[in-house]
Amino acid sequence: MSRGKLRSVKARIQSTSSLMKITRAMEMVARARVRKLEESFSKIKRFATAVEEIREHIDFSSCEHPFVTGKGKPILVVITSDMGLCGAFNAEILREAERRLKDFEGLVTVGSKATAHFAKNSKLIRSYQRMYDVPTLNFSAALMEDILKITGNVHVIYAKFVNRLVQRPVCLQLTPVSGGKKIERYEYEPQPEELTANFVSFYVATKLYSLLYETKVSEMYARQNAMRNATENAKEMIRTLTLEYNKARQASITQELIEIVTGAEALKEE
Amino acid sequence: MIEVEILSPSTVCWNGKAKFLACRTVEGAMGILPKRAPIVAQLAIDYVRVVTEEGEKNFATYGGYMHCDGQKVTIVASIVIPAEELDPHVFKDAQERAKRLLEFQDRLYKNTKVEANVKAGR
Repeated sequence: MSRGKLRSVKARIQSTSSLMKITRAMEMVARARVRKLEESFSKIKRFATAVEEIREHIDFSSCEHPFVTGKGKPILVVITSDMGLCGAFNAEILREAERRLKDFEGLVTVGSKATAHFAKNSKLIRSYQRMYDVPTLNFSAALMEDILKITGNVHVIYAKFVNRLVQRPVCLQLTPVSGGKKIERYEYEPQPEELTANFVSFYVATKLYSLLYETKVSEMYARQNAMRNATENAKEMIRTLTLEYNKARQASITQELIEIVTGAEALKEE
Repeated sequence: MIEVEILSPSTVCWNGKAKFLACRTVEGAMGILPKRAPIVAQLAIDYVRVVTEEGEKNFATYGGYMHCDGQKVTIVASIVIPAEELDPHVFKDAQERAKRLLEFQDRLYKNTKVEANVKAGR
């Protein structure tokens, strides 16, 4: 075995171990961030549930708001992450979006990955990238207002957080918003027509905020899992390469010994 | 006693039992006592005052909605700040910051890479 081969195996071990350090650091960063995000997400879920509860007590039948009537062309909002290195997270969302896109006349993308993927798509209406590190209600309100200018019929593809290992892309019908049943004994301030028109925008913004946040939490878990797998793979690779290196080194020593012994034997015969 | 829950997107600002709750809707001020008739109201930018057995608690709310079903009052607002955390200096700073942001709005939009109106004709 040549010295060159030994050197190349050693270089591969070194590069794999430095890569492992990077993936481990990224996993730890994702783990630290996801804890905070998940804590905030539980509060957002509580807020969204309270808003949902209010919606159930409002009768939307007299409301002419586009988000209630669903007037306009159907559009699809695709939410992905701004950064990669999170396994198949974005690819799965984009695959789901591609599959459903034929049923829609317009497309709005949130996140760099979706923007890059659909950059040349003729249905693309608006795209947003690197708008937030952590989603904000202000951004979701701005997004809601932009969508409202286009249409009142919106579906959203986001990453549903099932558990720490499973994040599934889901298509959700955001609007038209269906109201609750009419409750006679309820009072409304201001009058129901005005209240519903104002409330529906608030409801859609809150819902979008919750979906953006859920996608963010899913992304961080996907990144954590991907980086953990990468670290484990790197560890396995280092083990295999070390074995290969030791075998090569041993073969080289054996070869040298054989050469010395053969040389000595030849001298003895002479 | 009536159960009260005041929520903002980032936190549960307060929850507990109260004797009385006062708030201002877009149409005027109102007070809520236990067993009040159910109501859904849009809140104005103002204070919410909660009277408990221990004393009074005040919260500044930015918009939001109030739901009362007779047993429980839920207030959801995009911004809720407890009165003891209100600091006039913070608001002055925020106001100045907002002014500056408005002045540089165009530049900000460029920096955040908003690719709006990709297909303006559509």
